[in-house]
Amino acid sequence: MDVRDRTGSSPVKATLLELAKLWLQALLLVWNEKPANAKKLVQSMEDEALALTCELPEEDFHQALLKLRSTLFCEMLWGHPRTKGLVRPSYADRHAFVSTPLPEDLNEFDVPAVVNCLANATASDPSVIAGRHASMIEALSKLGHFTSKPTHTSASPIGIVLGPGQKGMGPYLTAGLLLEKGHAIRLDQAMNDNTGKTTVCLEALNADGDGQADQATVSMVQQLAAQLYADGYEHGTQIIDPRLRQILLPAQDGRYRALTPLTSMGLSAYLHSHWQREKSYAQLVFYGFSSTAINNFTAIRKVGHALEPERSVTGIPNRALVFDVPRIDEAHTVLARVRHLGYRIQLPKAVRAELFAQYQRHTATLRSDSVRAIELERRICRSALALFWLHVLDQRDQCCDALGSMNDDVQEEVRLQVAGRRAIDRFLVAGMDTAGGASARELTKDMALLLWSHLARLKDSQNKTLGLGIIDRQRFMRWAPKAIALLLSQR
Amino acid sequence: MFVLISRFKVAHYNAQQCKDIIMPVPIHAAVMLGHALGARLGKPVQGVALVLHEANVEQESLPGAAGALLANKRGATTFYVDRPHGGGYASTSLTPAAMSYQMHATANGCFSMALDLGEAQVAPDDVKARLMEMRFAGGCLQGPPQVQAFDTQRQLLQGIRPGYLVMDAAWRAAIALESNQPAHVFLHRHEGAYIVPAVVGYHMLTELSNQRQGIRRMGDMELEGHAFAESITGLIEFRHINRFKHMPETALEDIADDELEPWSDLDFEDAGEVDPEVVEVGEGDAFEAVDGPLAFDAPDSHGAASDSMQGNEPQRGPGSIFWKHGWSQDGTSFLIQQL
Repeated sequence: MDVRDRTGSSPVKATLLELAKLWLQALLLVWNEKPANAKKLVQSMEDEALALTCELPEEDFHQALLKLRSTLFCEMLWGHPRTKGLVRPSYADRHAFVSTPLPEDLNEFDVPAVVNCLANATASDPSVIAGRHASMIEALSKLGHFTSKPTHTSASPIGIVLGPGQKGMGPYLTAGLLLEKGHAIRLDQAMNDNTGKTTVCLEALNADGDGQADQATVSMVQQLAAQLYADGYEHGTQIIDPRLRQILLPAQDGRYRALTPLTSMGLSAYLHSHWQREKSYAQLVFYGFSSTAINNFTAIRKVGHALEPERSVTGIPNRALVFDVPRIDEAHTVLARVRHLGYRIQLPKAVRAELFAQYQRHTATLRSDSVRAIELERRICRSALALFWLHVLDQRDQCCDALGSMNDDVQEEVRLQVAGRRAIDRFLVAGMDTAGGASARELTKDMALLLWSHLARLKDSQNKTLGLGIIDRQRFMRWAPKAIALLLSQR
Repeated sequence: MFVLISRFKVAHYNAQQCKDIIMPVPIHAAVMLGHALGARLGKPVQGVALVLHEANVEQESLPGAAGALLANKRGATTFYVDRPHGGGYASTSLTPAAMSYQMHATANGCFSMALDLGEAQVAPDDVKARLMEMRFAGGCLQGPPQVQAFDTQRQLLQGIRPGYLVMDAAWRAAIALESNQPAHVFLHRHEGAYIVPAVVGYHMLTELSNQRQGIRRMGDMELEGHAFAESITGLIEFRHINRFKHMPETALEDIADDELEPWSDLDFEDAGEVDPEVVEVGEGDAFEAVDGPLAFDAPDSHGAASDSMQGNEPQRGPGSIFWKHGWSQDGTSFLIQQL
């Protein structure tokens, strides 16, 4: 039904109502209210205004609309993140807050002015301050470095806050180690809290950059937390929820201790913020599917970009790192490759790209100053040689592992198979200067040749090679075997 | 006496070391299994060695998923408690699909375990019978394993089939922590060895208490009390059993040591250090760009760990292959260690 119809066919009332709705929508836009909340408030205004329209004449209807507008604005303020720092002592005060008119000269569209006005109104009243302290302490008592939520979302809430003097315990990763090393561990909320006070506390204590609370509130929270958490703090620990694990660990004299491990989402946030995929054996995995993922981690979700700006840690609760372990058949795979295909040099992609770039520079320098160019070439290759040698040693290691699990006859068969092959293949299977192995001279020469052929095959993104010729190869082979020999002898 | 439990296969055991780290070698659980086995046999186990033959975390990929997913199973349940308003397992939900889901990660694997029983003697069949009543990290054994007894550690080592011994790498962590952030030490690669993080103990966060409601009590087991705790993550490394069996022939470090001599006759003058004169000549615009360390000289650029983590000292590390457990002096931490 059209608004005009519902306002008793009064065009004036309909216009007034439309204007009030537009005013409220604009205001909510300025305050950056969530669309869902905004829609709800506007709908609420329309419903309440329509209920009044039949009873009141136009002038009174206008006054009622103004009052309704003010009330709805106060309702929005009560739940708005910007004013949650200016907390009211309890939800019971909501009615009083909403029904108290704001100063007439206050511009509702001036967000900072409204926030200041609310702050000043409460700052001077001792009972209000005492109430704020009490409510903040209550909120602080629901936080913890360790909580039961990550273990089971339905478990009874437990929160344990570590004291500032917590120490690590040697070369082991614990929350104490992080504190000892000067890393702050983020607090988490131990239970859901819809009043917004724990959010204010978490923002103040976890030093979130996007905190909405005013500075006075932040200072107050920090001061109260310092007092409350001076020697650590725990709550909810008098009950062990049956959903939580209890591990029995042997103590002295045949007795046991039951321990319930809890998880620190702050430690979790730290680990995920610092993990670098390319430096780790680990792979990122996710627990669960979409809506079945664990929930209740709103506080920790805000960790994004916390420590390493380029690495977002959004979605920490569902993340884990899977560390793969070595497999026995890897060694046999390496040995089989050496037996049937021969050793193949493998340098990391980044190294190959760098080699290509440096060699291009070398080639350019070679035209003008051959002495410097040759020295540059040595510098470039010495770095690559170190990696090359590490790879060879790793492959030798794998071959030893595989050979060790074979009986003597099979080992001898493998050695015979590579007897007439390149020195590096013989080294990998039989070692150095042993029966069937390779001599040092043979090995160094072979490695130099391998590195050279690898360099000659390097290609850039346009599929172009370096264009190295026979003269380049001869120059390289004059010094490279010696450099490899020295490198090997130094290890 | 040493007891070797060879190549037992376990299905769906817990691979979750802690919330953030999943690794399919549950060394802490293995040591505790050894302890529990000894307690049931009435012969205290003085140390437990674990050999990894194969282990795989159960993972899957689904269309549209952002990455690998842990294969989670809610179980094909016949019974479902669907009372509304909190009566069921899934709180207020009325559909089995919305049963509350908790994090878990499982793995399948094959291990060998060696027990050091000191002077005590046990019959292998007793060990096998007891073992089949137990679980390995929550996973069921897939069949009776072969159990053998040995008098010496050397014989024991010869009896272990190819695999990787799980060794304590706490000493490596201690060195690396001197100059690295904890996350880099525990999550990133260390050069020269296959090292991964694992839970190696628990640290009490609260006082030990007998007054808490809901303490788990097991039959006649005497309980000192209960405490809330955090897990302690350490480093472990995998070393192939052949290095212990044939140490002089196959140890990586021995190759370099043994072969030092042949290099000495290769008397190359200019093979290593840069000739100072050449460097002097090289000072110029075209050369400056490469005068500093090359990009791939930086350890981070090729996937290796940072400086101190490269400092492997093969002669260091635990002297025994057996893990022992115990409490710290202040009684707040339980640890497994190789000493």
